[in-house]
Amino acid sequence: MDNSTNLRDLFTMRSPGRPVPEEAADHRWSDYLGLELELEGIPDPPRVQWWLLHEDGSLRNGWEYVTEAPLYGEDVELALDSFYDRVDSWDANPRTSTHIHVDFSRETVGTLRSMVVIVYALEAGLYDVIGVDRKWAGYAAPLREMSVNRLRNLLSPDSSALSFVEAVGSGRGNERYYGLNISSLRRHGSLEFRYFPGGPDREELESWMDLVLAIKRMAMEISLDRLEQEATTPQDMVSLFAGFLPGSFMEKLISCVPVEDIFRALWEAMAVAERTPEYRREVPLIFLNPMLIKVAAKRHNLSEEGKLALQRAADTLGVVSLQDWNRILSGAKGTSSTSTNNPFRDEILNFHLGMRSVNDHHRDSSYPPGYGEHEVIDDDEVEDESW
Amino acid sequence: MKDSRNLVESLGRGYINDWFQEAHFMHEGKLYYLYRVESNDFFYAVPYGEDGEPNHNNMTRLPTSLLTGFSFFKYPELGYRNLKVGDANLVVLLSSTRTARRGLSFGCLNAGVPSVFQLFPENRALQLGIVNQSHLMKQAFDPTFISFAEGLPRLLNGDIVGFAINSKVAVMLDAEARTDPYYKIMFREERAGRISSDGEVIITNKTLSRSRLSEVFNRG
Repeated sequence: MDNSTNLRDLFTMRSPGRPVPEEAADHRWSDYLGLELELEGIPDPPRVQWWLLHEDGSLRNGWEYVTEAPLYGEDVELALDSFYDRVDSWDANPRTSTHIHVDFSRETVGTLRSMVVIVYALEAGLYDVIGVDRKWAGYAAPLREMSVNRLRNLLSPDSSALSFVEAVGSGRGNERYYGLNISSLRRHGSLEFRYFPGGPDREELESWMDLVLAIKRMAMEISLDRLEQEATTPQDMVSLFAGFLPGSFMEKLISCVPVEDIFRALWEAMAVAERTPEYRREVPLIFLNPMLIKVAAKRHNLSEEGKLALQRAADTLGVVSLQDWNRILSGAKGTSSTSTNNPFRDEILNFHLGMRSVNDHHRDSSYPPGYGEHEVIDDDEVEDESW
Repeated sequence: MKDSRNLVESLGRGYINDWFQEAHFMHEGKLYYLYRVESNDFFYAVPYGEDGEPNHNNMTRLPTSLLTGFSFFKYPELGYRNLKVGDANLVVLLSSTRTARRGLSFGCLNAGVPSVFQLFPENRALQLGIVNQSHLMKQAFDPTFISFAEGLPRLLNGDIVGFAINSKVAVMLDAEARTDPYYKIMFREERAGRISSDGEVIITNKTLSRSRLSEVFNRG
């Protein structure tokens, strides 16, 4: 999947419409933003201009204020004026959160990849600076908890278009519960930052919006190639980042997290993006190499005759399937391949990497009665209408 | 506006019991899981015993003041872990399923085993329940990693099939190698290098070799 591919050419996504006019480029809110503010403790929530009001099933007597449409420039100021004038008290508990969407509908695959790598590097600090509890809230997990296959399919230039699109996700279900929700692209054309706790004051909210816009600008300017060339030491990386990120955030970031850790995370993300070129077989073959035979002899406690049997198989066959391996070992251990004396045989053949199936996990993770279903459904409904 | 109350005070007993049931946590160096919040002042937790299993007969009462935030239920980065199975070492890959529940509980902890281990008897430990979810949970919270310097001689000697150096890097026999190097270095589930039978390390992931992540092989 080439870095220059436009994201909008890969899937149908909502877009805020016209690009932000050039004259807005110098405005503090120079890009389309969407806000979701979850709040509790407002028994009689007022209607507020610029904002939609939703009951939120994931909260207890909670409400979510969602900007009516993606906003930029002066409209953002007006929406914030309007909200903070009308809503002046709430209960900011750890159940509530704040989500900030930024338009990504006009960006390329390369910009998305840069964004993911930059956020991956900054993430430990983001949680520390913003509020470490969000990391463990369940709905804003770190990118490093994402399945590595999904991450690799997003980042690797060798990913097919299909695997890239699958990695972005559909925007529904658990795949969106990361601090950086990439799957929001499919439904809204935005990236959603879910790192932030609920109930910020205006100054705090604006500082988060500044940060989100700065990270996006950085991703647009700095390709992964440039990152690789310029961020070669922790100090170089800090200089590069400081050119884009708000000074107050950088100060807090560096005081919270060792620069070495951020640097290591940056390179870790880039290393994940690199696939090892090798032929991948649907059914793995086992090459009977000398080390494998040596370990098998020890681990299976083979007699001298058994070792000879295994060596003979290596000399004659060289490569075997898992089924053949088990058959040879049964023979090497002096047991007929059709014998019923080996209680483990069937289990070995049927065992798939020790993994429990995905369906098993879903069964295990049943929602507590009365909450889970609402939580998911209501969240979806809200996101359907606007970001 | 900021919340300084504990989780029971701010979210309610019912919420904690619904969403945090069986969520594991470390307290004073010991692994527990939350059983039930009984009052606004205390909750019951099940501690793990010396045998690595939860000890239900030793249910412990802990103050709710400990539950200062969601981060009380934090856990180390998942990924590769070592499990001692007799004299063998089984490498497992731990991950969590994103669910509506908070914390790491039995239902959302997944374990995979690198395919080469299918060829050896230690793999049966999982199939037969000799290694169970409790043992995996213990390793999730309190990992025992094997350093490169310690693990490599055992690997080259054929005593073990592989070992995890940290949550991201594991070294193991390569059953798909025709010729030497017969061992592979796995970095987050992808082959990132090879090791020959005389112990020479070749990092094939270019990004990894340029970064400081390769330090683990030099430090031992």
